[in-house]
Amino acid sequence: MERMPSREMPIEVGRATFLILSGLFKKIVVANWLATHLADPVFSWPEIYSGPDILLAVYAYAVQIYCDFSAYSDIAIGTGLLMGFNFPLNFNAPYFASSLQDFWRRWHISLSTWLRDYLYIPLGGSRRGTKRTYVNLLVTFLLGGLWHGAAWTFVLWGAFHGAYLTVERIVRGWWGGGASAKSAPASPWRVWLGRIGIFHVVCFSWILFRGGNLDTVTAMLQGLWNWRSVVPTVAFWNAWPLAVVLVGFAMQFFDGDRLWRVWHRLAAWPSWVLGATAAVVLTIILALGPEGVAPFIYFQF
Amino acid sequence: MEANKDKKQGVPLTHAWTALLVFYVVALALNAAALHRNNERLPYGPVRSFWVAVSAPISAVSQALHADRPRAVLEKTVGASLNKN
Repeated sequence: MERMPSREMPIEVGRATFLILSGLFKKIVVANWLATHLADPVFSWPEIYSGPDILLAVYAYAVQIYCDFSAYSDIAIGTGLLMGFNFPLNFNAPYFASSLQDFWRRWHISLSTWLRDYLYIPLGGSRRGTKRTYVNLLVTFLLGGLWHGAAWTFVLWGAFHGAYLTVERIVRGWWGGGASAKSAPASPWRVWLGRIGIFHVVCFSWILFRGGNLDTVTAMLQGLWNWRSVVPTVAFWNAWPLAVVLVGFAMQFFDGDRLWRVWHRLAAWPSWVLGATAAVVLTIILALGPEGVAPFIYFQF
Repeated sequence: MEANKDKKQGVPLTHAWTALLVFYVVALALNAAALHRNNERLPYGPVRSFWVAVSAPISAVSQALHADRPRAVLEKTVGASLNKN
């Protein structure tokens, strides 16, 4: 049973402050900017944009949904810490995953754990033979897709993830499924190629997820092959869009306990210095953000 | 060194509350004018009247102390450049 916080319980104020402020930065500055300047316009009228701009908008949406949802989780975890509750991690640098299975161990961990414990394992998991394992994976991800909403695009998104995980499992069985192969570490170039490949696989799935309807998804996919834009003055590949996408992507370095030394140093600061610094950082975040803040993407699910 | 990673670096509750109190006071001083502007944009009604009445004196104090300047400068420079359409 979870122990209630008491007056004697030490509060992880350094980690809490860091999580709340980095969450606010991800949401107010990065996610809102990417939504209003890149992802929303392109997903609303994909027909008028060129392939490179659509590609950048897809990258932007990948970073936006990560920054938006991980911010939501970080702010909740940080606020909980201030009240003495320690909630588990929900994101752990998902776009650094080298396989889709690895991605689902890092993305929305609370949902993927729930799907595993309450759908995949009760269906039999991997204990009832190879074919049944593949069926269980597909069913679990189809239902995981439907959990997001009653739309064909979510069904397709779930089916794509389930099918890709199944193929990944089959290929792993062919190429390196033996016990000896498991213990051998993969070469760095193979890991990086895997990371880049999986990032693009996930980006493709975000087109299905964000599209909203099959017409938009089709227009986005067709538009990727158009070199020229209908409106020649529209071009996203310049300094600010690239900088914000890269900054949002780099925010993954803050996930997990990668910066535990920073938390420890913050916790050692005098209370008033920590409070005043947090207020100054918040002011900078608010000054950089646009007027008004869009609701979190996951509020709709 | 790795052992330190697992060790939670907590502070007593009173220290956390002090940090929180200082945070609210400083954040309010630095952002009172913007907060007041937002309250003025609320739909007319008792809610707007209440929040405008609360934020007006705080904003006046903040402006008298020039505590609103850092945010205003940041908004006009980096913020405006970042958020222009």
